[in-house]
This record gives sequence, structure tokens and C-alpha cells, in this order.
Amino acid sequence: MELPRLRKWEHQLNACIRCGYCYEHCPLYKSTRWESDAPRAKLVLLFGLLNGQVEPTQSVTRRLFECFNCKRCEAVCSSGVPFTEILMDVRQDLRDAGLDLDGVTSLNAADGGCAKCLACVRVCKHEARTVGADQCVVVDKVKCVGCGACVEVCPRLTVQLATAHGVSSSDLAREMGSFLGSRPEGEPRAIIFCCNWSSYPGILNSRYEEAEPKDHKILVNMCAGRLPPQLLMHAFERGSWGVLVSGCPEEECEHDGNLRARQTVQSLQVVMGQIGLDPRRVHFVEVPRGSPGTLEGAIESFMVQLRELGAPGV
Amino acid sequence: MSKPDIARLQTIVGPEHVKHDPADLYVYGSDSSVHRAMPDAVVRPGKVEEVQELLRYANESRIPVVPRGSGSGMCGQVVPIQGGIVLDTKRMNRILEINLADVYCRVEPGVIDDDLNKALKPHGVFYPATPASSRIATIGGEIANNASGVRSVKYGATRESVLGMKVVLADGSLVTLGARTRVEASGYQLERLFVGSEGTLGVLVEATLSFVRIPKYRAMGMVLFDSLDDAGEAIAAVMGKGVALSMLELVDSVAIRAVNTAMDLGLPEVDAILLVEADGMVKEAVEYEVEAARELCEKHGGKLTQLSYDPAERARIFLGRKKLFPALSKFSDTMVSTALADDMAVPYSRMAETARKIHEIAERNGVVMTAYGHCGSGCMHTKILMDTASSESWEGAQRAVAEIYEYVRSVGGTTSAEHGIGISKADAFKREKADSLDLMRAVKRAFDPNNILNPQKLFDAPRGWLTATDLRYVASR
Repeated sequence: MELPRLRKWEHQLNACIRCGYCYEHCPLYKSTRWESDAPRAKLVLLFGLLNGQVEPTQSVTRRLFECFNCKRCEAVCSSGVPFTEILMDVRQDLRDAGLDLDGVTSLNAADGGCAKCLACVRVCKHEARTVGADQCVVVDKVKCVGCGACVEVCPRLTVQLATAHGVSSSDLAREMGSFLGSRPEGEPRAIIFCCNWSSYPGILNSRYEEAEPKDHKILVNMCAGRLPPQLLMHAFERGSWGVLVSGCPEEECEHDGNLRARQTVQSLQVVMGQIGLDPRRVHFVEVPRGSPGTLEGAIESFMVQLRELGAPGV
Repeated sequence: MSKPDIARLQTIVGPEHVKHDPADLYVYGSDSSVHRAMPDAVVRPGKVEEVQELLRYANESRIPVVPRGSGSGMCGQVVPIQGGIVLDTKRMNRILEINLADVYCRVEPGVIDDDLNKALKPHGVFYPATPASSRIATIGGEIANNASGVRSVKYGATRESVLGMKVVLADGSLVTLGARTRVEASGYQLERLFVGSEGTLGVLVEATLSFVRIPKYRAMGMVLFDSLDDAGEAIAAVMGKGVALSMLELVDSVAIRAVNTAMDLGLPEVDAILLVEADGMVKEAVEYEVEAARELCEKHGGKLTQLSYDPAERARIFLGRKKLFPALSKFSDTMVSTALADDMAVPYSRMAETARKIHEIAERNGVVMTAYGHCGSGCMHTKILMDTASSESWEGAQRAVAEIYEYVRSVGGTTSAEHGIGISKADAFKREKADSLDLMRAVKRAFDPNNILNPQKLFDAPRGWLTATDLRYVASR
């Protein structure tokens, strides 16, 4: 099989020293904990494709379309391998060969239901959604980076991610409920939504049940712009004392998600004031890439404030 | 050797914890070394009983089992050279106990080193045998390879921190080795035998580790030398006088240029740099060791600069050393960094000579090598930079590796200081340990009579690392 775009990256595939430092930052690996889902594995597979040791099966192709494009692996790569650029090129090669698959790209539900409002087309920063000849929305699976912005704006819930890997709204709601329900009565509790691009901390691949239970739960939601206000409100319904949303600083978000997240939080603050909840219980914080200390500081001061406010009265 | 029955594996660990798709197998067939081979299945047991049942089945059916942590080993230790089952330990990832009064902790093999230290930190203690890959390295992998890192000069390697362990043997039986006490006098210390055994004797399912107090003060500085020989003499003087440093790192001129070229860190362009660090609970005690090191280094032409106790400043000083590994990967557009001849140890008095010898051998064989490492422990790290698409480069690398190990052996050094032997260093290891190989084989037979546990590694690896397995590189000419 000809892979002309991939072929030009041969040196980079050799240059990857396979240290595996990309694991701890990869949301897919965090979700499955299989090494074969980590960025290093994708480079290994690409190497195999190039030298004919790996067949471009559906299984291989699916893996190459499964990447949230967060680029955290690139930021820590010992060899400076431009991972996502290589992946985009091989996706094009595979599509040219008629082998594109869904991966984590966004889809329109097979049974239709699209209102043709084009909200998903407008929100996509990656030009992955266009209007086709029959007025249907067409998804370019190479350009789609799986940020999920289109999922959250679709009024008819027609847009889905083929594989959400633990970051869909229902996944997050389940995790949230499980944590909030586990906290003792009267004890502070808060949900911290972290954008994978900027602020989600490195992997903790070990369990320590004796550790003192934390008063907050960090949930990775990929782009902060994906967070629907209902999900944030749901945290309060389940007993949370507060919700902190972290996102990229202005100008740094690749999907304009930080702007949407900020608007969501501001709207929610207004609603909370109207229903008698202190608006300070929901807060947006900018966390630049690679500054875990900023997030830790923000969480600490947010929790101090929540303790001062006490349990919500409504 | 036989192939595993996938349905049987699925019954033992659950279908969701077995992989046998060729794509998964291809990925699990390599690590951070130059080697590659295909397993027949990957399994992820979650508890001891599952490991026991897996090994009982594999032993009865004569199926190879290769235990695997995070696959960050550099010598092919987890490359399944005879196929079989890769036993991924990452689901067994619980920190079981932190016992401050008795100064030990118990962990499962898949616990990540950094995670353990995160859990220990609030108690003011740390697990010190940390290698550079601690962010992903599992405790099981570290024990299997007797890993160590930049602070081994003071805190030793993994073996010094292992008090005891539980191990599943090839026949599925579970044994408890060592103790939870600081000392244990009697009998064969089998737990020490397992440290560095590279998964050839059993599958570790629990480790009891000691820890030490986090020092209150740390001081780090950079000593500049106009001559590599002077730096070598300073190393021998500092270590010979028993100066208690917590880090003593050598960075040679090739390494300095590599870091400055790739990252523009502005390291002083001298012939050699020594990074010195001392730590302790009392500032005066730290100062005492730093002063002792300064005095000895100055006597040998070194100049101590940038000494600091400030964590941010220390991190800045260490950045050049920390970024060396990635810098080497970006050294050239045509060469890549390969994990070959990467961690020999030599006597302190031979450090400078070894560094010079490495450059000489590299030049003669048409590859580029640098010399850096934890010289306080006698450990010299190198990487071979070469054009992996060229068969001539591979031949040159093969000659260079053989010559380097010949030299290391001639000066009383050892093949591996901290990365292990696996496949790529087995030729040198077998020559170095020639008169004890039969003993090692007898030990292996006693633990694993059917040779199912990580076969063909260490003393049993095929002759000639270059042809032992497929290589992981695209070799197009």
C-alpha cells in the first residue's frame, strides 16, 4: 500500500526513542490503560505500516483515527516528534486508499434528525464540517480533531463522538455523581472540570485507598467549551458546594472553547443569583499549558472560599 | 514452545483484559530498545490468584511468559523473543500500605514510581531509587532491572530499598521472600536474587520497600573544567575521600555542545562539567560536603559556579543534564539516538579515560557517541547516534559496542550499571560473567525448570544482538 505522506516522516519514526513519556499525558491511555492506545503505540504502528510489517486492517486504521489532538504528547516528547502532524498525514493516506474510519471523530446520527441549523458547522474551528450538495452536514474525518464542540451545540443531540473514552457528558455526570455521593454529610465537596489541552494533570496510574479522601474531584472534559450548563448545574443538584471550570487563556485555545466556557460560567452565575445560590460557587479559571501549579493554587483558593460560604442553602 | 489458548486466557483474567489483535501484539512486541518480536497474547491480570493461574496454565502448556511494566527498558528485556504471553502488570497498581513507624511500604508491581513518591511526600519521606523514567516506570520493572538514577551515589540502587517481596513462581506457587525488618541475617537472601533478574525467575506480585526522609536542604552547583582528565581526577578524589554527595554528574564537551545546539541552554563550552549536589537535614552539614567537594575539585583545576539552595535555581542548573537525553535525539537530521552500550560502570579513577575511549571508538567506527552519567556511582551513560537506515552504520555500531565493552572489562568495569542486560548487552554480559554463567543457569533451572519465564534473556540470549531479533528501525539501504 502506498503511503506517500507518511513516507516523508520516516526519519521521525526512527527518531522516536520510544521512552514512553507520552503515556502519562494521553487521554486515550488514561481511559483504557492499554499501551497500544498510547501515542508511542501509534508511532510503532505507523512504523510497521511503512515497512510492511503491519497490515492496514480496520483495527489499525481505527487506532490512527483515535486521537483527541490535544498535543500533550508532543509537548513532552523527548525526540520532538510532531505526532499530530504525522497522524493527519497518514489519515489522508488511508482515506485516499478508502480506509477512513470513525475513531473519535464527530458523526451525525445515522437515523437523521439533523435540523440543518448549521450550529455545528459554525462552531467548528477546524473546518471539519461543511454543507454538502443535498444540504446535509458532511464531516471531514481527517480534519476533525474530536474536540466535541459540535456535540454540545447540537439542539437535537444528533451529533455524537464515535468513541467518547470517558469524556462524554453522561460519563462525566456518572463520575461526578459517584464522587459527590461518596462524601460524608456536611463535608465540603466540589467538582473541578479540567481542560485536557491546558490544565489536566499527569496520569496517576496507581491506587492508594488509604489516602485521605479529597474534598474535590478533578474531571477531564477535553475542551472546556464542551461543558453544557446543564452538566454544571447537575453538580449542584447532586450536592456539590461549587464548580470550578479551567480552560486555556485567551488566544491559546484551538477551538475557541475557552470563550464558550467563560460565557457558560457567566450565564450560570446569573441564573444562580436568581435562584438564591451565591454566584461565587461557580468560577472559570485560565490555566496556561504546562503550569500545574496555577491549577493547584486555583483549586486551593476555591476550596477555601467554599468552606467560608458553607453548604449551599438551596 | 506452544501457543496460548486465547479462550483459556480470557477465562482466567476476563475477556476485557486479553488482547490478541495483531495491532496490539505488534505494539507489545517492542520497548525502548532496538529490538522487536511478536507475542501471541497480552494479558492484564488484576490479582495474585490470576497470576498464579496464568503461570500454572503456561507452565503445563510450555508457553513463554514475559512480565512487563511500562516497556521503558532499553535492552529488550520485555521483548518476547519466543512469542507467548506478555503479562502486563499495570492493573496491579495498588499502594497497599505505608507504615511510617516501621519504615516500609508495600506495593503491587504496577505502581508507578512517581505515584509512590506522591503518596509518600505528605509524610516527609521518599523512595529514593528513582530512575529518570520515574514518571512511567513501574516498581515491578525497577526491581526486575535493579534500576537507579542520579542520586544512587548517596541512596543506592533499587536493591538497597527492597526489604521483601511476594513472587509467583513458574509453577504458580506463591512465595514470600525477605522480611519487613531492616536486617535479616539467615539463609539465602532470595529477594535480592530477584532484584535484577529481569523476569526470568518469577513474577513479582508485591514488594516491601524502605524509604528515607526528604532532606530539608539541598545545594547544587556546577564545576567547570578545561580538561576532561582533570574532571576525572576530581571525581576520583571526591569519591576517594568519601565526600557524601547526593549527586555527582559528568557532562562532557560533546554532550555540552549537543544541549547547546539543540536547545540553546547556554551551558559553558568547557571540556567537562561536574554537577554536584549535597543534601541533608542540617544546612551546616550540607555546606560541609559542598565545601569538601569544592576544595577537591579546585585542587584539580575545577571552578565551582552557580551554587544554590533555591529549588528553582537548582532546577535551572540541572536543566542541561536533564535535557541531554532529548537533545541527543535532536542532534542531527540524519542520525537518531539508539539505546546501545548505554550504561556501563567503571572504577572512579577510570571515568575520564572511559569518556575519552568512547569518543575514540565512536570516531573509528563512524558513529557519534557522547559520555555523561552518574559518575558518583561510576555509571557512564552513552548513546550511539547513527543513520539507522544505513547498514554500514549498524556494522559500525556493532564494532563500537564490542570494543567499548572489551575496554570496560579490561579496566574492571561492568556491562550494566542500571538499565539491565536483556538482549542487546547479553554478549558483553556473558563474557564478563563467564565463570558464573553455569551457576546462573542452575539457579534458573531451579526456579523455572521448563524455561517459560522470559526465555532467551541475560545469559540465555542469542549470540549477536544485531541479529537476535528484528530491529525496530526502518533499514531502507
